[in-house]
Amino acid sequence: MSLRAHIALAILVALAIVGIVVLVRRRHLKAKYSLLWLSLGAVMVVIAAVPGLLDWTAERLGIWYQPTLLILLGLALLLLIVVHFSYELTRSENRTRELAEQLALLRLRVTELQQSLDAAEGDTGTDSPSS
Amino acid sequence: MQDRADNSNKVLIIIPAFNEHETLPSTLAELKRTVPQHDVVVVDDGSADDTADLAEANGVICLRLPFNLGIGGALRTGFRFAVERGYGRAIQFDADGQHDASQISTILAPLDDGADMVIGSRFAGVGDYHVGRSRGFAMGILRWSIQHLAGQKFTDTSSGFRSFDADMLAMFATDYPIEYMDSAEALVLACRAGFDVREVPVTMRERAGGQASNRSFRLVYHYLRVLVSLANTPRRTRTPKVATS
Repeated sequence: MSLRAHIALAILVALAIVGIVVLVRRRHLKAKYSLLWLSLGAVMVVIAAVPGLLDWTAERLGIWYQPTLLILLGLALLLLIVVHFSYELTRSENRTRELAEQLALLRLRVTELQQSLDAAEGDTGTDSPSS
Repeated sequence: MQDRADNSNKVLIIIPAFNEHETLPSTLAELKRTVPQHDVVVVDDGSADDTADLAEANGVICLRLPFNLGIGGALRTGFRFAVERGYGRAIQFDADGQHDASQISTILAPLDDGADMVIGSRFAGVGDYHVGRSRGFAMGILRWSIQHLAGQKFTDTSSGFRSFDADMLAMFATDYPIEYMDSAEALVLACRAGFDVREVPVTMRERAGGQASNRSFRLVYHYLRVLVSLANTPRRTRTPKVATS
């Protein structure tokens, strides 16, 4: 890559990292998710900061067109992040389902308790629980 | 639970219901007429209509899910309720009028004989229930894969007319398939966990109302999904029950 491309890449990555850090500081992003993005940023920083590293590595790996390595690395990391999100989403959905089911059961129990309470107190003008 | 009478000899009829305004009252009336000795719980799966109110107006217990979980989630809620209240047996019954209340005794009978789960099958001889060609074909594929995974032959894997004993309920209360074709997956899950699953012939009516949850354009997607989850069903979590008698 040319020097100009390196500088452009470095600026972009720096902006992205600052953006992620700001999000974490404002608590819009959990630290555990930011780590994935920051590690992606770190890889990019190294590539941008060390001219010749990408070309050298690509040559070692037998990649003829060196920028392919950059795209390959980026894709691999993105894939990892996306799979991680699917995993988190599944877990989160399971928990939501669990909560919904427990809520239905508890709601019935509260209604029943309220009714037996009302019955025990006798007809003293108590409202039956509306749902 | 704490303040409950002993329910271990009682049967709980679990009715998952999603927007069943049209058919629920007649289904509940039929149950009250035919099997008044059984308890009924309606699980309202986040209906947009007055399904839950109708259930309560008809004097049955109603569990209200805050949003739609799909049939699997509604059933699991029902199973949890059955376990929580200590019911010895439960029936899964459709709200849409497809199932015949007079046949509840038919699917309960094998439980006395040591079965853990009994499936009412439309295709095991009695009655003349017809499904469309594409559905019949899809059901055939499912039947074939289930036979291989469960190690047992079933003629009607998608039937939602089932009975369960306390052991089966205990497992399904924590571990019931939430994917689309829950009925087929539950069957495989039970078989692979070593439960005694049987099938009895029943007759069913054509749907009285409501909308069929099976749309042909979604069939391929759902079949792929169920095949993926079927292929990943865990094996042997329970040692087979020692044969009684």
